[in-house]
Amino acid sequence: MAVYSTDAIVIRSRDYAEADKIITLFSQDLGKIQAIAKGARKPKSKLRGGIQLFTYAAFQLYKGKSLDTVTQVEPKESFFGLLTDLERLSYANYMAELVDAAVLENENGQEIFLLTLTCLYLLQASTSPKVVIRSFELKLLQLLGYQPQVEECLGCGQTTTGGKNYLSAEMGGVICHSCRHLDMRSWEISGGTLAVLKHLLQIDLRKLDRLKIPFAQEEELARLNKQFLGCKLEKRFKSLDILAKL
Amino acid sequence: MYYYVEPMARLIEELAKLPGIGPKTAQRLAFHILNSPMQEAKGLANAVINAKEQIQYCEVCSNLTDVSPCHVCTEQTRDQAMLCVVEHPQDVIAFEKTKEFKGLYHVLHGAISPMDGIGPEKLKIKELLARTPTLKEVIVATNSNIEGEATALYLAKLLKPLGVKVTRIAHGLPVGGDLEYADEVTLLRALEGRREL
Repeated sequence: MAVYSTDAIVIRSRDYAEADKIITLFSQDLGKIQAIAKGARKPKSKLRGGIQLFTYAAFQLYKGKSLDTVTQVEPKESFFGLLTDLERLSYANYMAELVDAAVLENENGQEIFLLTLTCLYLLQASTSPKVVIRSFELKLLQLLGYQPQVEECLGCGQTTTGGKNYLSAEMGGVICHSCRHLDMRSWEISGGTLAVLKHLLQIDLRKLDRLKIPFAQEEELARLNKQFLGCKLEKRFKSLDILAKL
Repeated sequence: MYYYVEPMARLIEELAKLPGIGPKTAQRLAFHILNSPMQEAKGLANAVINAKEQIQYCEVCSNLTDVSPCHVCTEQTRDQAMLCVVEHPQDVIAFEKTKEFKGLYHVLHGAISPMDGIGPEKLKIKELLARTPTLKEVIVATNSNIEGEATALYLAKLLKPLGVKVTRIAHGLPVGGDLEYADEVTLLRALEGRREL
């Protein structure tokens, strides 16, 4: 299989040598692929349009020793709408960074692929990009097998309603106030945010646009998701730090 | 096993630190330098040291220069109210080759790239803001990729409230390019930026 074709999203791209680009593709059937697009920074390159970050395209690649070479590319969706809004663009960057950290090379991640693609479309069209990102974070955790246990306290097994609760990344879910001693590094989660969290874990992404999350709860959820993901993926996300400065 | 004498080994080691130069190329270059006349070798050594010592960032436009403010910034015939913002010093040279642009430049030395951890504070944006009171128009000529686009959006957000006209260079088909190979984004941009004949 010297030459092969696959549908993929470009999740990372960096300059290489005079006019080349090394890109990381997230393929529907082959997982993450590192590839080189030769001459792709030249204005007249045939590949240029298809290998821009976040582009969803049909790729034809040539298998190489360490890097595969992009021979042809036919863009299917370039998410042009993302380029006109700094907030959406930054979130797309964050999504790509998350996916890059979550998926291993040549590991099949079809469900994560579909989630990423769906969320890119939603991010482009949605009226509240923040809600899209929060759901993406949670659904990604779900698919990776890290779904936070939120219905019952992980310590005593009681249903989590009302009162003070804490989210523990180490234990992978919510603990109640009297079980707090099990993980002193857990973070407090308010009743409202816990309800939003439960709802987002179950929501059908197609109905996301009908959901409104109050500002304070969105902020709290953003902070909790960041800590939870950081703990599970063992990574600090650079794009989140930059996002805060924009 | 035979090893290089110390000065030769050091030269090879230093050359191999350059980008794109592997150990074998470094060896070949080292032998070339050794075989060339003393004058040439000294010329190379001096050129490296002079460049490193004399070249600095221009205090106004942040371009690379040997005198600060640089030649472009001090040229009185230029339009002092029009500024072209670019990512790299090479871009200034590309614009100067057109011989059409008569305004001033500002070099950011990079573009916002969240995934690589490059935020606005790592670029020469503070220096750009200091220049805005005398400006009428800022042309954002960052690269037409995601990083360049993010930088352009950020600059627009920053500069517009200051009452400066912020424009973006046109995107579209390259001269001599075939429509068939143009991607949808390029074509879309080309349509947006169409003008009357």
